[in-house]
Amino acid sequence: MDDTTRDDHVDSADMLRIMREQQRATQRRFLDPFINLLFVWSAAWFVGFSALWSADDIGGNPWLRIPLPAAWAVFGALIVAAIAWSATVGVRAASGIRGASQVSGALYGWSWTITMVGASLLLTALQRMGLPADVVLVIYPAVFVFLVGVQYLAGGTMERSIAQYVLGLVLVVTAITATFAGPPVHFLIYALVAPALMTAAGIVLRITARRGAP
Amino acid sequence: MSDLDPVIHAPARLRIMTTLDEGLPAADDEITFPALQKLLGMTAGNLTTHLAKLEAAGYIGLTKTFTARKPTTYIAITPTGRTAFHAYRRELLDLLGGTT
Repeated sequence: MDDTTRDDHVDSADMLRIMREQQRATQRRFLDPFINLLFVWSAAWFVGFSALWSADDIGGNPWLRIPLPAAWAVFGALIVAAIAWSATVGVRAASGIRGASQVSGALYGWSWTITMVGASLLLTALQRMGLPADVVLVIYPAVFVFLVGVQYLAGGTMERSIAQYVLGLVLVVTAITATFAGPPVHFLIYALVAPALMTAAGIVLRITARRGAP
Repeated sequence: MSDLDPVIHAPARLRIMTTLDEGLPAADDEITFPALQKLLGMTAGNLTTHLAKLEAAGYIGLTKTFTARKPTTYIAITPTGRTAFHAYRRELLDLLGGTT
Protein backbone atom coordinates (compact mmCIF):
# COMPACT_ATOMS: atom_id res chain seq x y z
CA MET A 1 0.00 0.00 0.00
CA ASP A 2 1.57 3.32 -0.99
CA ASP A 3 1.26 6.48 1.10
CA THR A 4 -1.44 8.03 -1.07
CA THR A 5 -3.67 5.02 -0.75
CA ARG A 6 -3.04 4.74 2.99
CA ASP A 7 -3.77 8.46 3.57
CA ASP A 8 -6.88 8.22 1.48
CA HIS A 9 -8.02 5.19 3.45
CA VAL A 10 -7.47 6.91 6.81
CA ASP A 11 -9.22 9.98 5.49
CA SER A 12 -12.17 7.87 4.33
CA ALA A 13 -12.38 6.13 7.71
CA ASP A 14 -12.52 9.55 9.38
CA MET A 15 -15.25 10.61 6.99
CA LEU A 16 -17.28 7.51 7.82
CA ARG A 17 -16.92 8.29 11.52
CA ILE A 18 -17.98 11.91 10.92
CA MET A 19 -21.00 10.74 8.92
CA ARG A 20 -22.07 8.28 11.63
CA GLU A 21 -21.63 10.81 14.42
CA GLN A 22 -23.67 13.37 12.52
CA GLN A 23 -26.36 10.83 11.78
CA ARG A 24 -26.63 10.06 15.51
CA ALA A 25 -26.71 13.77 16.36
CA THR A 26 -29.55 14.29 13.86
CA GLN A 27 -31.45 11.33 15.26
CA ARG A 28 -31.01 12.72 18.76
CA ARG A 29 -32.69 15.92 17.57
CA PHE A 30 -35.52 14.38 15.52
CA LEU A 31 -36.13 10.82 16.74
CA ASP A 32 -34.95 10.40 20.33
CA PRO A 33 -37.46 12.85 21.88
CA PHE A 34 -40.31 10.74 20.48
CA ILE A 35 -38.71 7.48 21.65
CA ASN A 36 -38.17 9.04 25.09
CA LEU A 37 -41.92 9.76 25.21
CA LEU A 38 -42.49 6.02 25.48
CA PHE A 39 -40.33 5.94 28.63
CA VAL A 40 -42.09 9.03 30.04
CA TRP A 41 -45.52 7.48 29.48
CA SER A 42 -44.33 4.12 30.85
CA ALA A 43 -43.33 5.82 34.11
CA ALA A 44 -46.56 7.85 34.25
CA TRP A 45 -48.75 4.77 33.69
CA PHE A 46 -46.72 2.56 36.04
CA VAL A 47 -46.91 4.99 38.97
CA GLY A 48 -50.39 6.36 38.11
CA PHE A 49 -52.16 3.02 37.67
CA SER A 50 -50.24 1.56 40.64
CA ALA A 51 -51.66 4.42 42.73
CA LEU A 52 -55.20 3.57 41.56
CA TRP A 53 -54.61 -0.14 42.24
CA SER A 54 -53.51 0.87 45.76
CA ALA A 55 -56.41 3.25 46.38
CA ASP A 56 -58.94 2.77 49.16
CA ASP A 57 -62.33 1.48 47.98
CA ILE A 58 -61.38 0.85 44.32
CA GLY A 59 -57.93 -0.79 44.57
CA GLY A 60 -56.80 -4.34 45.12
CA ASN A 61 -53.27 -3.96 46.47
CA PRO A 62 -52.97 -6.28 49.49
CA TRP A 63 -49.75 -4.64 50.75
CA LEU A 64 -50.36 -0.91 50.46
CA ARG A 65 -53.42 1.34 50.59
CA ILE A 66 -53.58 5.10 49.99
CA PRO A 67 -56.56 7.47 50.24
CA LEU A 68 -58.67 7.57 47.05
CA PRO A 69 -58.32 11.37 46.51
CA ALA A 70 -54.52 11.05 46.78
CA ALA A 71 -54.51 8.21 44.24
CA TRP A 72 -56.55 10.22 41.75
CA ALA A 73 -54.33 13.26 42.36
CA VAL A 74 -51.18 11.24 41.63
CA PHE A 75 -52.73 9.66 38.53
CA GLY A 76 -54.10 12.98 37.21
CA ALA A 77 -50.90 14.93 37.85
CA LEU A 78 -48.76 12.33 36.07
CA ILE A 79 -51.08 12.14 33.05
CA VAL A 80 -51.20 15.95 32.76
CA ALA A 81 -47.39 16.14 33.08
CA ALA A 82 -46.94 13.47 30.40
CA ILE A 83 -49.39 15.26 28.08
CA ALA A 84 -47.48 18.54 28.60
CA TRP A 85 -44.19 16.75 27.88
CA SER A 86 -45.66 15.22 24.70
CA ALA A 87 -46.95 18.59 23.49
CA THR A 88 -43.55 20.20 24.12
CA VAL A 89 -41.80 17.46 22.14
CA GLY A 90 -44.24 17.94 19.26
CA VAL A 91 -43.75 21.71 19.15
CA ARG A 92 -39.95 21.45 19.41
CA ALA A 93 -39.79 18.82 16.66
CA ALA A 94 -41.64 21.13 14.28
CA SER A 95 -39.48 24.15 15.13
CA GLY A 96 -37.47 25.36 12.14
CA ILE A 97 -38.88 22.74 9.77
CA ARG A 98 -41.50 23.04 7.06
CA GLY A 99 -42.75 20.68 4.38
CA ALA A 100 -44.59 17.36 4.13
CA SER A 101 -42.91 15.83 7.21
CA GLN A 102 -43.90 18.81 9.36
CA VAL A 103 -47.48 18.69 8.07
CA SER A 104 -47.89 14.94 8.64
CA GLY A 105 -46.26 15.26 12.08
CA ALA A 106 -48.60 18.10 13.05
CA LEU A 107 -51.68 16.23 11.79
CA TYR A 108 -50.62 13.12 13.68
CA GLY A 109 -50.06 15.21 16.83
CA TRP A 110 -53.51 16.74 16.50
CA SER A 111 -55.07 13.29 15.97
CA TRP A 112 -53.86 12.38 19.49
CA THR A 113 -55.49 15.49 20.93
CA ILE A 114 -58.72 14.94 18.98
CA THR A 115 -59.08 11.27 19.95
CA MET A 116 -58.24 11.81 23.63
CA VAL A 117 -60.40 14.91 24.12
CA GLY A 118 -63.14 13.28 22.04
CA ALA A 119 -63.03 10.15 24.19
CA SER A 120 -63.27 12.26 27.37
CA LEU A 121 -66.39 14.00 26.05
CA LEU A 122 -67.90 10.73 24.86
CA LEU A 123 -67.38 9.10 28.27
CA THR A 124 -68.68 12.19 30.06
CA ALA A 125 -71.86 11.94 27.97
CA LEU A 126 -72.24 8.26 28.90
CA GLN A 127 -71.74 9.12 32.59
CA ARG A 128 -74.49 11.73 32.33
CA MET A 129 -76.76 9.02 30.99
CA GLY A 130 -76.23 7.08 34.20
CA LEU A 131 -73.24 4.84 33.56
CA PRO A 132 -72.69 2.93 36.86
CA ALA A 133 -69.66 3.99 38.92
CA ASP A 134 -68.06 0.53 38.80
CA VAL A 135 -68.34 0.51 34.99
CA VAL A 136 -66.84 4.02 34.82
CA LEU A 137 -63.73 2.75 36.59
CA VAL A 138 -63.31 0.09 33.93
CA ILE A 139 -64.42 1.89 30.77
CA TYR A 140 -62.33 5.06 31.23
CA PRO A 141 -58.87 3.44 31.23
CA ALA A 142 -60.00 0.86 28.67
CA VAL A 143 -61.07 3.49 26.14
CA PHE A 144 -57.91 5.56 26.57
CA VAL A 145 -55.50 2.62 26.42
CA PHE A 146 -57.45 1.25 23.43
CA LEU A 147 -57.15 4.62 21.65
CA VAL A 148 -53.45 4.90 22.45
CA GLY A 149 -53.12 1.48 20.82
CA VAL A 150 -55.04 2.64 17.75
CA GLN A 151 -52.84 5.74 17.53
CA TYR A 152 -49.71 3.57 17.58
CA LEU A 153 -51.23 1.36 14.88
CA ALA A 154 -51.65 4.51 12.78
CA GLY A 155 -48.17 5.80 13.69
CA GLY A 156 -46.60 2.46 12.81
CA THR A 157 -48.43 2.47 9.48
CA MET A 158 -47.38 6.04 8.72
CA GLU A 159 -43.72 5.55 9.60
CA ARG A 160 -43.51 1.92 8.42
CA SER A 161 -42.44 0.99 11.97
CA ILE A 162 -43.17 -2.62 12.94
CA ALA A 163 -42.23 -1.92 16.59
CA GLN A 164 -44.82 0.87 16.83
CA TYR A 165 -47.45 -1.23 15.07
CA VAL A 166 -46.90 -4.22 17.37
CA LEU A 167 -47.06 -1.90 20.40
CA GLY A 168 -50.41 -0.59 19.13
CA LEU A 169 -51.75 -4.09 18.55
CA VAL A 170 -50.71 -5.31 21.99
CA LEU A 171 -52.12 -2.21 23.72
CA VAL A 172 -55.47 -2.88 22.04
CA VAL A 173 -55.32 -6.48 23.28
CA THR A 174 -54.28 -5.24 26.75
CA ALA A 175 -57.30 -2.93 26.98
CA ILE A 176 -59.63 -5.78 26.01
CA THR A 177 -57.95 -8.27 28.38
CA ALA A 178 -57.97 -5.82 31.31
CA THR A 179 -61.65 -5.08 30.74
CA PHE A 180 -62.50 -8.79 30.73
CA ALA A 181 -60.41 -9.19 33.92
CA GLY A 182 -62.41 -6.39 35.53
CA PRO A 183 -61.75 -4.34 38.66
CA PRO A 184 -59.52 -4.01 40.57
CA VAL A 185 -57.00 -6.24 38.75
CA HIS A 186 -57.42 -4.19 35.55
CA PHE A 187 -55.49 -1.33 37.21
CA LEU A 188 -52.63 -3.75 37.89
CA ILE A 189 -52.64 -4.91 34.25
CA TYR A 190 -52.43 -1.29 33.06
CA ALA A 191 -49.71 -0.56 35.65
CA LEU A 192 -47.50 -3.47 34.61
CA VAL A 193 -48.25 -4.75 31.11
CA ALA A 194 -48.65 -1.45 29.23
CA PRO A 195 -45.50 0.23 30.68
CA ALA A 196 -43.46 -2.94 30.11
CA LEU A 197 -44.60 -2.99 26.47
CA MET A 198 -43.88 0.70 25.93
CA THR A 199 -40.43 0.38 27.51
CA ALA A 200 -39.69 -2.65 25.31
CA ALA A 201 -40.90 -0.79 22.20
CA GLY A 202 -38.74 2.22 23.15
CA ILE A 203 -35.66 0.00 23.50
CA VAL A 204 -36.39 -1.75 20.16
CA LEU A 205 -36.88 1.60 18.38
CA ARG A 206 -33.63 2.94 19.82
CA ILE A 207 -31.69 -0.17 18.76
CA THR A 208 -33.18 -0.21 15.26
CA ALA A 209 -32.43 3.51 14.87
CA ARG A 210 -28.76 2.86 15.68
CA ARG A 211 -28.60 -0.20 13.44
CA GLY A 212 -30.05 1.91 10.65
CA ALA A 213 -26.88 4.01 10.68
CA PRO A 214 -24.52 3.08 7.84
CA MET B 1 -6.94 7.04 -5.06
CA SER B 2 -10.71 6.98 -4.76
CA ASP B 3 -13.13 9.00 -6.85
CA LEU B 4 -15.35 10.08 -3.96
CA ASP B 5 -17.44 13.14 -4.80
CA PRO B 6 -15.15 16.10 -3.90
CA VAL B 7 -18.15 18.35 -3.23
CA ILE B 8 -19.26 16.11 -0.35
CA HIS B 9 -15.82 14.77 0.61
CA ALA B 10 -15.08 17.54 3.13
CA PRO B 11 -16.03 17.13 6.80
CA ALA B 12 -18.27 20.21 7.04
CA ARG B 13 -20.14 19.49 3.82
CA LEU B 14 -20.47 15.79 4.67
CA ARG B 15 -22.04 16.77 8.00
CA ILE B 16 -24.43 19.18 6.25
CA MET B 17 -25.51 16.57 3.68
CA THR B 18 -25.90 13.86 6.35
CA THR B 19 -28.11 16.17 8.41
CA LEU B 20 -30.26 17.20 5.46
CA ASP B 21 -30.67 13.62 4.23
CA GLU B 22 -31.50 12.30 7.70
CA GLY B 23 -33.55 15.23 9.02
CA LEU B 24 -35.56 16.07 5.90
CA PRO B 25 -37.07 12.75 4.77
CA ALA B 26 -39.80 14.18 2.49
CA ALA B 27 -38.96 15.66 -0.91
CA ASP B 28 -40.28 19.14 -0.07
CA ASP B 29 -38.98 19.33 3.52
CA GLU B 30 -36.95 22.43 4.40
CA ILE B 31 -35.06 23.60 7.47
CA THR B 32 -34.29 27.16 8.54
CA PHE B 33 -30.71 28.38 8.57
CA PRO B 34 -30.64 28.87 12.40
CA ALA B 35 -32.11 25.38 13.00
CA LEU B 36 -29.50 23.79 10.71
CA GLN B 37 -26.74 25.86 12.29
CA LYS B 38 -27.82 24.68 15.75
CA LEU B 39 -27.82 21.04 14.62
CA LEU B 40 -24.33 21.36 13.17
CA GLY B 41 -22.79 23.69 15.74
CA MET B 42 -21.08 25.66 12.97
CA THR B 43 -20.52 29.41 12.74
CA ALA B 44 -22.88 31.29 10.43
CA GLY B 45 -20.00 32.31 8.15
CA ASN B 46 -18.62 28.80 7.84
CA LEU B 47 -22.06 27.33 7.18
CA THR B 48 -22.82 29.98 4.55
CA THR B 49 -19.56 29.20 2.71
CA HIS B 50 -20.23 25.47 2.56
CA LEU B 51 -23.91 25.90 1.67
CA ALA B 52 -22.83 28.07 -1.27
CA LYS B 53 -20.59 25.26 -2.58
CA LEU B 54 -23.37 22.69 -2.20
CA GLU B 55 -25.85 25.03 -3.89
CA ALA B 56 -23.44 25.63 -6.77
CA ALA B 57 -23.28 21.85 -7.29
CA GLY B 58 -27.08 21.67 -7.30
CA TYR B 59 -27.13 19.51 -4.17
CA ILE B 60 -29.20 21.89 -2.05
CA GLY B 61 -31.74 24.63 -2.68
CA LEU B 62 -31.99 27.89 -0.73
CA THR B 63 -35.27 29.78 -0.37
CA LYS B 64 -35.28 33.24 1.14
CA THR B 65 -38.55 34.36 2.68
CA PHE B 66 -39.95 36.51 5.46
CA THR B 67 -41.38 35.16 8.73
CA ALA B 68 -42.99 37.81 10.98
CA ARG B 69 -41.11 40.50 8.97
CA LYS B 70 -37.77 38.79 9.64
CA PRO B 71 -35.80 37.40 6.71
CA THR B 72 -35.56 33.62 6.90
CA THR B 73 -33.53 31.26 4.74
CA TYR B 74 -34.84 27.74 4.22
CA ILE B 75 -32.50 24.98 3.07
CA ALA B 76 -33.65 21.85 1.21
CA ILE B 77 -31.76 18.88 -0.19
CA THR B 78 -32.45 18.46 -3.92
CA PRO B 79 -33.12 15.07 -5.54
CA THR B 80 -29.70 15.41 -7.22
CA GLY B 81 -28.14 16.10 -3.82
CA ARG B 82 -29.83 13.13 -2.18
CA THR B 83 -28.75 10.82 -5.01
CA ALA B 84 -25.18 12.15 -4.83
CA PHE B 85 -25.08 11.74 -1.06
CA HIS B 86 -26.38 8.16 -1.20
CA ALA B 87 -23.83 7.35 -3.92
CA TYR B 88 -21.05 8.93 -1.82
CA ARG B 89 -22.13 6.93 1.24
CA ARG B 90 -22.21 3.71 -0.77
CA GLU B 91 -18.77 4.35 -2.29
CA LEU B 92 -17.34 5.25 1.12
CA LEU B 93 -18.63 2.01 2.62
CA ASP B 94 -17.40 -0.01 -0.36
CA LEU B 95 -13.99 1.60 -0.01
CA LEU B 96 -13.80 0.62 3.64
CA GLY B 97 -15.36 -2.77 3.12
CA GLY B 98 -18.37 -1.86 5.26
CA THR B 99 -21.98 -2.70 4.74
CA THR B 100 -25.22 -0.82 5.21
